[in-house]
Amino acid sequence: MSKIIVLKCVGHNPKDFELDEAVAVQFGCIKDLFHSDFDAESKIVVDVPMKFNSYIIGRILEFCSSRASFSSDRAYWEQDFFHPCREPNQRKRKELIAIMEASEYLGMESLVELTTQSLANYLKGKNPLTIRSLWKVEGDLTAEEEAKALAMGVAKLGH
Amino acid sequence: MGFSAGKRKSRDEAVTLSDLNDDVLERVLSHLPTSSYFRMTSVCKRWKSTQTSTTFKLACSRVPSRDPWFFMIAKDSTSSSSSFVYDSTENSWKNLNRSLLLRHRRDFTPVASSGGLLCFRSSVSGDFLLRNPLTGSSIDLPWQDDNKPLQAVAMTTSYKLVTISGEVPNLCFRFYESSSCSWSKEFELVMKNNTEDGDDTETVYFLSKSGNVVVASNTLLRTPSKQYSSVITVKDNVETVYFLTSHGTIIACDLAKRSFTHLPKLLPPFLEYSIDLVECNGTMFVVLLSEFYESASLRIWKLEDMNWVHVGMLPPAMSHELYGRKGDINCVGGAGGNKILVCFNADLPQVCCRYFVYDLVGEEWSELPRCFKDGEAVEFVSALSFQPRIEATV
Repeated sequence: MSKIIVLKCVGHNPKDFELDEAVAVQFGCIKDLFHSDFDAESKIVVDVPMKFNSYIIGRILEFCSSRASFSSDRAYWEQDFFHPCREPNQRKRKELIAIMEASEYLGMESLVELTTQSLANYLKGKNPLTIRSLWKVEGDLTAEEEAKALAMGVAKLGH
Repeated sequence: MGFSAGKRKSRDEAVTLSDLNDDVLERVLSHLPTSSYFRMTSVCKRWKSTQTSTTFKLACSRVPSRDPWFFMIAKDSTSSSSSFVYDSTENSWKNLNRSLLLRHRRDFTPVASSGGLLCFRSSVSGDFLLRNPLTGSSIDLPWQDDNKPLQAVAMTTSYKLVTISGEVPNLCFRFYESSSCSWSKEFELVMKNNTEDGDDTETVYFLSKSGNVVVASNTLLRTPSKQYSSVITVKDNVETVYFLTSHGTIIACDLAKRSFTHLPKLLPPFLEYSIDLVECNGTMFVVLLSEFYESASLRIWKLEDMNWVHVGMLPPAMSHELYGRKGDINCVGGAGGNKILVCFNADLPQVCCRYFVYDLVGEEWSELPRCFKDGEAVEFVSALSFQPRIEATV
């Protein structure tokens, strides 16, 4: 009697994930499918873009099913699920960005909120040069533009 | 399962933020504390471009609250050519960009603040000016002079400016709302009788230190920074404006019921004291500096069912240093935060300015370091608190 949504992941480790309603309604892009007009017994297959591999989708579903009945909980995300650290290694950074992008694609608002906050915490208080080297962002401002940007708004005073 | 080192080519791909789509990037940057965000605009062109993006400002407006910054008011506000703020996130003094200052408007003094906006009033024309100190976005609000003395100016978020004028018992209020872009008509405030009403004009005598009988002075000396010292609280949709009278008593104006009452006195009138009001998270607090028994105490009180409840006190060792200086305190609540900033300033025996912060949650006191610019100390008498929001517009 229950509708089943299947997330089909391709790529290195192809895998199909079956979602029940409680989990699927957390995905903004999928929940409408439950209200559309089709046979109660049928299965709907959703193709997930290649860049979101099965590991990441698996992690997201892990998050959803354990918190399916609660609203997004920051304490849970930080302590039990994501384990943030001051200087995240490459693997951790990659995982955070992948989960962030995948949850944005799938329309999982609460997880987008949590992941963007976590990423902001990694960036906060750091020197722009450090940010560029750590997160591989190319600095394309001229020296003058850069100096102007740093002077804009606020300049720190000594004490 | 997962990423095991060395097995796949994708492992060598560096982690980069360059591929993030605009929406996600803007959401990440909107979560940064404002100081950090300004620094990040120097990383690359794309990040800098968020500063003028409407969607970025929308993302910022969804951040529920930001740690307050304190906009400091110097002793001699007309001579200062810079604006100083204290960043409570990074715990440091900062200088606001000169081009955003009120260069041509020296007669404007800061009187109120709410959310990301500051309110200034011209001492010449009485006109108001609302401004976002970070972006310079501002609006002039002309004031219609009705020859009634202005008692209080208060502001609530997005935004509503309330003024109380007149002399007790004939008070009235008026407001300006951003939604209507105009001043409302004047509303009369009716005095509600307080059963405990003592006779304000009773003469009190006391014995001074030198053994003389002296008449107690009932008039509170008001420094310009405290002229319209008032706060507004909004609880269950009821707006209440509290302000200090020249006698040092507090009047509470219920804007919904259009009435006002005198709050019970905190101290007998013959004690030396300085008093100020703050608002924190919808509650009004009173900060009181008093001298008694050869020492000074700095206490914070709040009103509960028309009774004063003691909330906190500066450690006696610290408050004793304020004794005998005839100092004045000007206080402000951290906009949306749980902190109260007390600016103490005195001229005797030498100029002394100190800034204490009380954390209502942790029940802890701390002191701000002195501010230096080009090697010289900058002294402040008062402050306004605001949330550093680049999206706040008038």
